[in-house]
Formats: sequence, C-alpha cells, structure tokens
Amino acid sequence: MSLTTLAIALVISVVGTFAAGLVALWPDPRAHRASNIILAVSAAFGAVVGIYVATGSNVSLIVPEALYPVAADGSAHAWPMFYGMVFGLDRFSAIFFSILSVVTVLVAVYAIPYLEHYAASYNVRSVNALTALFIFGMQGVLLSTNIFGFMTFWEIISIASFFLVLADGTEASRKAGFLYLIITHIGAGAIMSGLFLLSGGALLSDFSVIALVTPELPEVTFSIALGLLLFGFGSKAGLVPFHVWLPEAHPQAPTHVSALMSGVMLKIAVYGFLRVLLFMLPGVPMWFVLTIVVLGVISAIVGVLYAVLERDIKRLLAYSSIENLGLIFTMIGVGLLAGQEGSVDLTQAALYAALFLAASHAIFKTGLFLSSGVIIAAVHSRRLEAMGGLAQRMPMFSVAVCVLALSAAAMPPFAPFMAEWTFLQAVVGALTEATPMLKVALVVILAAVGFVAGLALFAMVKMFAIAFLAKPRTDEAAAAVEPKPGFLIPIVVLAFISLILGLFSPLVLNKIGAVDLAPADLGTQVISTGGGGLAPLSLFLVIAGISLALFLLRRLLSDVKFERSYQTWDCGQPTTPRMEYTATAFSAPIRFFFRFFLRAQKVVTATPLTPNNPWVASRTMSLLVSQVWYDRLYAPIGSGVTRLAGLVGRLQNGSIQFYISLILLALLVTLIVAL
Amino acid sequence: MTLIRLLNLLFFGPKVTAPQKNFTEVKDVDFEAVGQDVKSVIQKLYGGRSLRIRAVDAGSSNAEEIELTALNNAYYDIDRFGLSFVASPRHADILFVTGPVTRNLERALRTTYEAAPQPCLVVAIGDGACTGGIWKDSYAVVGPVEAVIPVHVRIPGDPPSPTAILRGVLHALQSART
Amino acid sequence: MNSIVLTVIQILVVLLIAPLSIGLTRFFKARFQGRHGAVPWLPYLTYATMMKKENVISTSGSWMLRTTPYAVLGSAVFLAIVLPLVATGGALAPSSNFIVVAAVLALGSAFLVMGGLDTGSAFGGMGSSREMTIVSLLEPTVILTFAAFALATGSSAIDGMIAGSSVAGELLITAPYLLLSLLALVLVALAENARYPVDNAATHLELTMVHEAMVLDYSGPYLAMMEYAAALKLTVFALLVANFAMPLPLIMTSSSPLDVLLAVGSTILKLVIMMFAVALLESTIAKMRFYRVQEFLTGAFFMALTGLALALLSQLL
Repeated sequence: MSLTTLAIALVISVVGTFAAGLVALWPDPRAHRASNIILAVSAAFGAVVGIYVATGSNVSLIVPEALYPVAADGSAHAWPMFYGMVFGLDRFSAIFFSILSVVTVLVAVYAIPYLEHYAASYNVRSVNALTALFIFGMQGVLLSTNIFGFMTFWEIISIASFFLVLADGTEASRKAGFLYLIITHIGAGAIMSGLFLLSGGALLSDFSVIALVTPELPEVTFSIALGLLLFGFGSKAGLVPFHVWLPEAHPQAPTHVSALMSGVMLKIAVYGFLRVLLFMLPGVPMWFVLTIVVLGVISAIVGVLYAVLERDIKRLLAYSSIENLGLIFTMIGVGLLAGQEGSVDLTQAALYAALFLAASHAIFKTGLFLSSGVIIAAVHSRRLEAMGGLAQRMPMFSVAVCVLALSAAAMPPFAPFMAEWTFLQAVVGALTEATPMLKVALVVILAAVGFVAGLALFAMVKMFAIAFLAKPRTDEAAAAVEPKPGFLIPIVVLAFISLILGLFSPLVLNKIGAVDLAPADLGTQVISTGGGGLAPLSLFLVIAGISLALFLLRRLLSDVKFERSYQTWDCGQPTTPRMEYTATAFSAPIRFFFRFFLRAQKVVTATPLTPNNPWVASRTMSLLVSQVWYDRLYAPIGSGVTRLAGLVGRLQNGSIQFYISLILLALLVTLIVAL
Repeated sequence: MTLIRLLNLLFFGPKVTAPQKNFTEVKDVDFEAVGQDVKSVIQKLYGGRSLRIRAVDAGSSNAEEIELTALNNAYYDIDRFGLSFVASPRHADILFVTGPVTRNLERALRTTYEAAPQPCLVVAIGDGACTGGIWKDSYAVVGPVEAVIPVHVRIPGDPPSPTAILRGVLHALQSART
Repeated sequence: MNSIVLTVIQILVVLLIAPLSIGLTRFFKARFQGRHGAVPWLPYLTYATMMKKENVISTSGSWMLRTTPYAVLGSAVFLAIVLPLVATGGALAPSSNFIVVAAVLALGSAFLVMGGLDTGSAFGGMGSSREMTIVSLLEPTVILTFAAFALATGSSAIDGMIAGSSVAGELLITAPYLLLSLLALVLVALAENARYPVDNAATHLELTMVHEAMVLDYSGPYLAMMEYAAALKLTVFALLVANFAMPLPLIMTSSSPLDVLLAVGSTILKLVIMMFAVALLESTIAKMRFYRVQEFLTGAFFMALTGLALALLSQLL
C-alpha cells in the first residue's frame, strides 16, 4: 500500500469516529445503530492502517506529507489549520493505534444490543456521542506529533470519560466521577507542566525538542519535571498510590466504556510515558528508574491482593487492571535499569515484553469487562455472591470467558503468558552477567512477579468459578439464557484473538521489531532470550495431543454409556445453593494470611427490634478491608485542603471596606515588585 | 524406634497382626449361600481384590461402628485384604450399613445408595440391620435395611465382632470368585 | 539412540510405575504402624476396578466437571513426558523450561480447583479454597528454586539442569550450595502432592482435607483419572528430586540397551527410596493446621530466596 492510501484510510478512520459522534446526536431511533456501525467501520480502517504500519519495517506516516507531498520546488503544502499541529503515525504509536482500533470495532458491535437493553438507564444519544468523542480523543493522542496536540486530545479523553462515568446518574457514579475528575485533571496539569519544563516552553514543537532541551536543563528542574511526569502518567495509568480513582470510576461507567477505559485508556498513558521517556534516554537519572520499578512492583502486588479480596465483579477487574499495569511499568523500569547497567539483552526483552503484555491486556481485559456486562445484565447485580450456575445455562459464553480468565491469569498457551515468559526468562538469563545492584533488583523482581502471577491465578479462578460454576445462588441467575449474538460474538472473537496472539507470538514479536527475540531463521516459531527458548505452537500441539490421546484412551477403556446423573453428595441432608462456597469464603485464607497488611475487620451492628428485649435484634455484618493510602494519604490531604479553603473563606466577610483595602494592598505589592 | 527395629518390621513383617487364615479359613460359617447378583458384581470387579467401603450408620447403637473402627487397627488390619474405607459413597464399591433404618435417616440412606455407582454391594452389619433387631416394629424405625435398599450380604450379631465381620465379607468374596 | 525412542521409553516406564508410588507409600506407612498393609501393587487393581464402575455425574455440574479430569491428567502426563525422569535429551526436552513447567503445574491445579467448586457442595469449596491458596503462594517458590538451579547449571530447561552438570550426576558435589534449593524443592513437592505436613491423603474428615475434598464427587473412570493423576504427580516429583540429588544412571542418546535396563532398574530403586522417605516423614511428623500452613509456605519461600542468593554469591567467588 502506498503512503497516500494509508493516509486516506487514516483520515477516514479519524473523521469517521467524529462523524459517528455527530450521527449519535440525531433524534432518530435508528441513529444508535448507525452511529455504532460507522464507529466500527472507521475503526476497522484504523486497524488495517495500524497493523500495516506496525509490522512494516520502514513505514512512518506523516499525514500532511502523505496527502500533499513536497513539490519539486521544495514548497510543501502544510495544513494551515490546527495551529500547525502535525499528525503522524510511526511504528511505536501504530502498535497502540491497532490495539485501540481492534478493541473499538468489537466494543461498537457490543454497544448496539447493550445500550438497547439499558435504554431506560442511560441517555443513549449522549452516551454514544461521548463514546465516539472519547475514542476520537484517544486516536488524536496517538496521532499527535507535537505537545500541544497531545495535551488537547488528552483533555478531550479526560472530559469525555468523566461524563461517561456520570452516565447513569446514581449517587455512586457522581462521587466516583468527581474523584476521577480531580485526579485526572491534577495529573493532566502535572503532565503539562512537566512537558513545559522539558521542552523549554516550546509547546507547539515536536516531541524531539525534548531530546534537545534535556541535556541543558539544571538537575533540579529535570528532577521536578520527571516527578511531575511520573505523577501525571502514573495517575492516569493507575500506579499506586495514585490509583484511587480506578476502582471507583471503572465500575460506574457503562460496561463497554469501562472496557474501553480499562483496556485502552490505560495503555494510552503507558504510550505517553514511553513516548516522552524515549526522547530522554540515556540521561534518565537512576533514582527515577528505581522509582518506576518500585512503584510498578507495589502496584502489581496491591492490585492483585485487592483483586483476590473483591466481591464486586467490576471492581475485581479494575484491580486486576492495576495489577497488570503495575507489571507493565515494572517491565519498563527493569528494561531501563538494565540499559543503564549494561545488560542489553534484558533491555530489549523487557521493553518488548511490556509492549506485548500491554497489547494482550487490552484484549483480555476488554473481553472480561464485556462479559461482566452480559452477566450483570442477566443477574441484575454486580456482586459475585448473586451469580452462579451460568456455565450450565450459557455454555458457549462460559467457555469464552474461561479462555479469557485463563489468559488474564497468564496461563499457557495464551498471550500474556508469552509476555511474562519472555520477561522472566530474560531476567534469569541476565542474572549471571549483571552488576551487583542489578542482581539484587532482579532477584527481588523475580520473587515479586512470581508472587503476583500466583495470586492473579487465584483471583481469576475465583471470579470464573463463583460466577459460573455450581448452582445459581439467586432466582435471576437461574433464569439466565445464552446471550444474543450481538453480545456473544465480540467476546468469542476476543478470546480467539488472545489464543492466536499467544500461539503466534514469535511471529508477532518479529514483525513489531524484536528480531533478536524471535529470530526469523528459526522459522519465527521460537522466542529465545536469556539462554532459553519457547515454541508456543509446538507446546500447544503437545498439550492438545496429550488431551486427545487421553480422550481416546478413556473411550477405549471404559463404557461411555455407563453413566447416570444424580445430585451432589450432600451427606444425606438436602443442600441449597446458598450453602455453596461464596467469594468471601473462597478468599478467606488469603485474607487471613495477609491480615497484617489488609486488616480486614468484621463489624457486626445489632439494632434491637423491641425496646424491652435487647436479644431480639436485627444484625448486620460488614467486612471492611482497609486501604492504607486512602486513610493515610488522601483523607489527610482532603481534610487539609478543606480546612485551608475554610480559612480562605474567612476573607469573604462581606465588608466592602475590607475588599477595597485588599485591592490597595495588591496594587502596592505589584508596584514594589515591578519597580 | 531405632532403625534396626524399623527395618525388621519392614522386611520381616509385623508381629501384632492376626494371621490371615483366622479370617479366610472358616469351618462353622452360618451364612447363607451367596446370591447370583453378588457373584456377578464381584466377577465384574476383578474378583474383588481391591474394594472400597463406605460405612453408613442408619441409626445403630454405635456398637457396630466401634467394631468397624477396630477393623482398621493393627490386629485385624482390613487393608491387607484390599479393602479400605473411603470418605464418599461416590468412591465406594461396598456399603456397610449398620443399625435399623430410623425414619430420620431413611432419606440419607437412600441418597447414599443412589450416589454409589453401580455395581455396588450392600452389606448389612449387625442384628438391627439384618432383621431390625430389638427395635423391630418400633415407631421410630422403618425396618431392616432391606426395607429401604437391596441387601446382598448379611452379617448378624449384636454387635458382630470384627472377626465375624471380616469372616462374613471374605467368605462372600471367596464364594463369589469361584 | 534416537531422542524420540528415549521419550517413548520414558513415557512407558513412568506411566507404568506411577500407581506403584502410592502403593509403596501406603505399604511402608502400614509397616511403620505395625500392620501388615496391602500389597504395593494394589493401586493397579484399584484403578482397574474404578474403570469398570458407573460414572455418576452430579446434576449441579457443567462442562467443567467433564473437562477437569482430562485437564488434570493431561498436565500430569505432560510433566511425565517432558521432565528428565528416566531419560535426558528426549525429543521434548526444550519444552521443559522451568517457567513453562511451573505454569503447566498451576494450570492443572486451576482446573482441579474449578472442578471441585463445580460440584456445588461446601466440601468441594473448602478443598478448592485451600488448594488454590497453597498453589498460588507456592508459585514464587517454584520459580526461585529452579532459577537457582538454572544459574548453577547454565540451562533454563530442567532437562538441561540435570544433564548439563560437568560431572554427570554429581550436581550437589560440584555445587553444594544447591542443597538449600533442593530442600525448598522438597517442600514444594510435599505441598503440591498433598502430603504431610500440608495435607493428609488418607483422612476421612472433611475439615482436614485439601486434595481429597475436591475429588469427593467424582466416580468411575473420572475418579480413576484424578487418582492416577495424583499418583503420577507424586512419581514425577519423587523422581525429579531424586535425579537432582543422584541422577546416575539416566538414559541418554548414547546409551546401549544394557544401560537402558540399568536405568529402568535404578528408577524403580529411586522410587522405592523416595517413597520410604515420604512414609517415614508421614509417620513421624504431624499434619499442620491449615491456618499455620502460611508459615510452611513462607519458610519454603525464604529458603528458595536464600538458595538463589547463595547461587549468585558463589558465582562471584
């Protein structure tokens, strides 16, 4: 494909998204379907462009140049509008662009039946329009090549997602949206100021100006800028301790928007972070790299621990996102650390593992959120304790969710396992030749990633098993039926992509540029790094072959017709579905083993029903898990700010003379300072 | 225990266990002839060389239960005959039912029998299980075990000693093998 | 000798002697208790009997109940094929990368847990919750243990770890600091196979069960598959630990038929010795209460971490 074709397709993709937003506002009832179909089609164009650019070796697309190439006399046609913003796609942003587009296609298909089902709770027109605006913003961030464009579209993302979190109008949504708005805007301000410092004030220039300015900056300014950028991008990506908005905001948004936020928006933050960082290497100070690693490890551990404890399915998935983003930041940090300490193999492996994990996380997290939407629509509750028995009633759906849950737990042969394998193998391979500081760091990281992987399996098995297996715990769950194709097809497609991405991961890695990791002379069948190799396709074939052999052997050795159905062994007494294990019970050992950190408290409140008899009472038990950063960090800051605001409010005492004296004081100060 | 005594035990056999012929060679057996269904079950299960037992107390006086517990100790050692006790009727090949079937446990006994995969033998242990014993015709009792589920082997006694239980079961298995 | 022939020999030998491990353990335990005990080859008859029985499927189960036995047995057979138990240098040796092995172990356990929960009884849930806790918290220990071996032998495939030491077979003599990692591996093996002090495989009380509780609702051929998978895992771990301590003689591509016979004989000898050790352990110590198992798991974790640190330090010297 020529550059012109690609550029046209790209423009169609972006303009199509905007057009979908406009169509959604039309008062016709068919506008809902039309808007989502336009969104899906334009995202498909975007996917094609993104995949082509990501896998092509020398393709780099700058839109004005591709559409209006430089004339023979040297005069180029620039786009006079947009304040000279230039839009372009290089290999790095194309990886994220293809993730965004593929996910958008499937989410748009899902949104059609989803919003029709929930037409009473949401204002469908505004949700569709805001979703299109949200995606438009994300596309813009990925396509912007200068800082001003980046920040503009970043703000579009924040505002659109804020309104989407508020979409169902409940009190919880308002609180969650408010928290989200505050943190995301402070973060955006931090990013803006950081970029301002790093670019020396030239906001309308390309990102490459950062590479020119940073060597000249004084140490202090550089450190402040780095800290601001870490806070800004980290808060958007959900790094602990800036993550408090994530478990509140993601469950409150409509489910397909939660999928987009968790699957793609967090990756946009990773993209922004890497984009800025790539221009600053190799001058990044050691404390910064270590901070990334430490925050990544803490996020991963905290995310997975709280995912294990959680009983609300969407909050569980939100904490799982925090865990995966923590792992991605750990891998990025280790890559940078290895680069500074001279282990080059580990750098490449860790960075590509981070990118691959980001891509596979987008796939499975979107799939899991979309399936949680289906489950919630069937069971009318977000609590895991209200579900159950869905595997009998929705067999095809439950198989797809099982595949997605196993990929979330980083099990072979799915894609996230390949990313974690690459990272762990590279770490082990680099241990021998590493400098002492790197050795210590790598050992700690090995232990931490192993711990996180184990508990991630726990959380995903808990989610799948309590939601789908055994008998239904409520009547609504008992009445569930196989979901409509509009719901089912995107989820099955995502499960399938997760499998294919895993099986063909060496090919994918080779195509996106990791030629050392997945050498072409081995037929791009093997990922080899750090002294070990993994051939995903042959591993899968061995496991499938063993299962097939066992199946045939069993049919040979025992009589398959000799079967009978009977109730579960219940020790002779009738059991009800309420006696099955609940999510709280399943995670009780972990709550007990980590009680030092989690401090789960059981609070029993008894309200007497009659005044004379205190023993006849209605009792409520709540299980509270403490969140240390909320109590020690955010609550004091919040109350401090409120107190400060109260103090400042005393200035507004309503007396005109006081106000005039304040104006006079300001005038005096200005004159003194100016002269 | 020193290693020498340990190895002595391992290679030259234990000194506490009663010899096998106490239970396998019986002359004064007053059990009925083994039915055809027992024969077919045992011959299907490889001659009954490894059978797993689930004990169900359908309302006994616990005397039979204590005798059953004694079967596992070092003197009687039911393990060496290939018989072992299991925790769930789904795993069981034999059901040992003790006590007359009380009304409260009738449903549980039936559920246990239904849960056990066929082919499964039912052994009624003790007078209460075989005929109802001293609780026969009581208002709290449904009847002997055969009133609820089909019985294949009966071992009378109140309670039957572990020797009697073992002799009864092994006699049934040996007769069915021939 | 072809590497495919090696793999086939290993499959045949390991799959055939797997039930012997459970039988030997019970035999030795019975003798320690002063009883006569069943013959060591009784489990063969037990599994054959089970295959003839009816398959009673619980009504509260779904497709997961039917998939679990295949998944559990499949992961155990994969380990038996891939790990260097009787032969090294087999056709699938590169697949024995330790991270892959740890992940397949976890996958098998995950299906076992989901099968236990699918029955819809509180017993299954209890066993599943406990088993999942143990497996999740063992994962970092497994990775750290094998990482130490990988550092010492320079190979990340377990096959290479056993075959690749400079003097074939004397890994612990050339690298004695690996004893700590080997002890950690022993603790992992005890926890993964539901042995003392983590679990009692012979108990009838559901409150003390971990592995047994999850299989309470299987019968007939499915039960035979689950129990055989447990026996196979025990055999695999026993032979793996024995091979790390004393690998000679294993079959390699350069072996003659006499070497093959010798290796098979020594495999059986290794199995007998390891089962004797397991039975001795089970007869002398008491099972830990489940809420104290965290101390066991933490101990294993720090043992593995220290082993890795020692391996790193010894490379500097």
